[in-house]
Amino acid sequence: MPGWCGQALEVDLSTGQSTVLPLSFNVLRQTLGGRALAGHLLRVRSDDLTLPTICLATGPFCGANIQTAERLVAVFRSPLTSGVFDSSAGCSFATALKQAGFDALLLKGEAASLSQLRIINTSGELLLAPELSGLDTTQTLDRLGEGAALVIGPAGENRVRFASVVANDGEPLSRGGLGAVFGQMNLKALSAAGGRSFARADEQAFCRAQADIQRLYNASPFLCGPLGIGACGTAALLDLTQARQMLPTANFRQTSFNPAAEFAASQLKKKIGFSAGPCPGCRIACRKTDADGRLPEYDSLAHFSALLGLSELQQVIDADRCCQKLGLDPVSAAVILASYFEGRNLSADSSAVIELLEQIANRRGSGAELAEGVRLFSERSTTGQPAFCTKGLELPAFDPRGAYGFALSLALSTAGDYRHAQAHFHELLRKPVPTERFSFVGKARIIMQAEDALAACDSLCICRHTLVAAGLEEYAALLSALTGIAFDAASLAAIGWQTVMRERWLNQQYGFTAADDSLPAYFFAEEGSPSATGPVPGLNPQLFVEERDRYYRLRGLDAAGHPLVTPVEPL
Amino acid sequence: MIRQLQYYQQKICADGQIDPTRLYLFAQDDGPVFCGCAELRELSSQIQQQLGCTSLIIGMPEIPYVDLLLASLPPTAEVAIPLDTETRTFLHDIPLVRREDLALRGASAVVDKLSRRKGVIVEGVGLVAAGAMTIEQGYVNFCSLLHATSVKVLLDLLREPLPDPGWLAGFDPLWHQLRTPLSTDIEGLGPFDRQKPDKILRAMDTAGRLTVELGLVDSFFGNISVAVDDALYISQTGASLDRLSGSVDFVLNDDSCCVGLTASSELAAHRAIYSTSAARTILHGHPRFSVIMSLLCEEECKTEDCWKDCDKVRVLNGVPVVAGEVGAGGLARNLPPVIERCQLALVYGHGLFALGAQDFSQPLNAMLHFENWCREHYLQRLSQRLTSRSG
Repeated sequence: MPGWCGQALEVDLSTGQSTVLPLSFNVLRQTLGGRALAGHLLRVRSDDLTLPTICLATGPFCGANIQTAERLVAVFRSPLTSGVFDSSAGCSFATALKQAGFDALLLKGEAASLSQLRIINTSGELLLAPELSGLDTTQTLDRLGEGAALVIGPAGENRVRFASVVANDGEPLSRGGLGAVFGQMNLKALSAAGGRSFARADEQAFCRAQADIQRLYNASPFLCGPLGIGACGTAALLDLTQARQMLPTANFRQTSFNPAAEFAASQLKKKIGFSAGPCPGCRIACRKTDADGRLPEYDSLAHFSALLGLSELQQVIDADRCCQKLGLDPVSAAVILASYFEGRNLSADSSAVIELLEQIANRRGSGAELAEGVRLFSERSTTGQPAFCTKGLELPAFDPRGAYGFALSLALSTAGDYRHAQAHFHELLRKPVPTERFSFVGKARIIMQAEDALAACDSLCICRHTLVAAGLEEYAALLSALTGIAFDAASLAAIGWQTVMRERWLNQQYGFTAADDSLPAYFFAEEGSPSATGPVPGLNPQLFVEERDRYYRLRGLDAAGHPLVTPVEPL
Repeated sequence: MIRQLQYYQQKICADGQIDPTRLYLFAQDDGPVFCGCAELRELSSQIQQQLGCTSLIIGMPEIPYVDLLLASLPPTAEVAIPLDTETRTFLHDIPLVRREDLALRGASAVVDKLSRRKGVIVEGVGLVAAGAMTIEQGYVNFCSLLHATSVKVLLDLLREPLPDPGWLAGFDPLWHQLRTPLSTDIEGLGPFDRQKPDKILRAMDTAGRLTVELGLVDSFFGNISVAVDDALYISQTGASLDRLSGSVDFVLNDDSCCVGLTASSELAAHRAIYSTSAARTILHGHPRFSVIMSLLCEEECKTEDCWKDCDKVRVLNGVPVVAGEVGAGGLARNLPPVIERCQLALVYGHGLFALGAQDFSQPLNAMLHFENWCREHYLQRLSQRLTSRSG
């Protein structure tokens, strides 16, 4: 079956037992892979949704030599949000898992002690790994040697709620606390290898569809322009958010950061000097590295500088690298540290930040309370800082007051993650068409359609950045050529819709209501920094709720944000 | 929402290429919103319901492009392959729905094809374009579809076997229109003080609006810039050239600031031209007959994808013609070596880039003169073909 292996591997870590699960044609056709397949397996294979379960899934394009498609999506219950969460990364583990013969890997149960799981050519082997205990992610990867692997650092072992999983190459699975779930399962490392190769159903149509997509990438200023992320990295966004007065600054108290230029992509180029360090199989190469390793992505760069207040570019890089090493999500870490320093009326200095990151990862000293994430930290704190999060997930580096569709999409995302709708594409980057950023009008429908498209994209395991240029119609043509099965934009969007509804349903089981589809009250009450046309106003709560309710109606949800009809899983 | 629909309805009607009595615009908000030809309401409603798109525009061109295009293709043809570059880049190809299929399957026949592409041609109905997110998207796709269709049909009249005279009678209004040259010697576009941003923005605004009003480009296409010291002002990607207010980026040449991330996808080409010429302004449009004449290449060679792979420089009435893809694909490489000599260059299947030494009068007038020459030249060529057939 071109595009898929037709099976998943289920591993019970409490017993070490592996089971090969056949995946029917119908399931694959109706889920594609990635986020939809992982969500599907999580739902149908979990006897108890409250027990730790992780599903890692690849997409049909993975292994077929398609740009940006060597990606993996993890779906799990987030220790930060307590809801369903999906995290995506470009890494060679995705291809290796597929070459080993699996479209997905379902992990259940808790190992008795720290373990390592190896998947080689259609079988899984669980090994005790006491020698890896306490090692950081770099040390762990060094011990594992060559090959595709995912590991956690001390933060994951200590179940820090925003612990990440780091890959041997490409991107980490940063957000949502996947590392903490690995830690809870006593799973320190996961590796895969195999020799399977993949056919294409219609080579000529495949090449044509690839060329159509490449032309769109080339024509995109954001992807391939002289100031785009291919040339400058995602750090290119920093100048833009600063110019639009929506760069979160001083723990979200301001929306403009005067020294922003000191941390811009041009400074990364000039002072540090970077080269491309792309995810496997990607020629856009938005990820940048220097001789010492990966450089911070936009959200991390902005938060450690503007939000937290580190004063030197090198300090920001050091903080980001410290997070990578310890296995922490740098975005969540920066938000929680900004809250910590503000609560103590202190300025963040580099050595204190590094020390606190170490303490968080090891749950020592002040790090023990910070390791719980900003929501719990704020609830337990006596200093009264707002919890700058949605559904418990620390906010990204775009101030919601600067783009209303973005604000609404952040609130509505089942994971509290702006990447579910990428509203900044149209509100800031003007793609596929520009929309008025200081207006809620029409945003409910736009968000719903963008969510469906992105959920489809996550199920194909294509990099979300590329949807700024190519659309579902182009990817549908490529998928049809690869698999020999007819897909079109509408059928992919329908799979995306089903995926979001499944996640809504899962969150309902976890007790979510409309109250969770909101933003911190602070953004409705307070103005942002002054701009040329006056201060950036707070969000209008009435218009926000009206548009949220419109979204509920359009998506087929009740007033609590729950599906009116329980989504049905394919058999 | 209804005001937005009416705005685009007026724009399409003002362009004069679509029959206003066979134009219908639809958008889905909380409920359906629509305007235009009531007879198309049912079909539009069914398409939207099945497709789930946010907007839909259906319109039949006044000139029988649709009928002639369909007649020129084999009855089994599934798609038309447009030759203009922007359409090749963004639409890829245009699916066709035949009258019999529409009669047999109704809206499903359209939906099947429209779910694969942004626009389709439906026999007896016209051009159908959808927008997934907004009505602007539907409008952009509709304009692309109309441009591609008209360019293909008009080009085919010069190089494919001529259709029956009966078909050509429908083109009489167009020939009549083409015999009146576009008015030139446009004034009021400079010179302006390039040290004063408000003057620059006002000049760009006026030049952009005139370029659209004169029919040299559809509003969401084309771009415009002004060079100042170490930077340039350039229209943003997706900007309406006739509504540029708030849609111009100031981009430093040394890349020390990435605010120009939202600049036109032709930023690289504009920069390359400024760096190798004395030009201070650039105007880029897609005048239809310039595009058609650029595609009329009679050289013998083996290049298949001429629009991106051709490395030759042809000359048309003294103006160089080069190939090159949009964005990172080659325009920035191919234009600078040829454009300075006559301050004008034509990109194969794409459009004109015109330079100004100090204002927009020069490039706009140059574009108008060249488009007039192309129209005249086109009519002459067609006339010769018609004469030789009748002779």
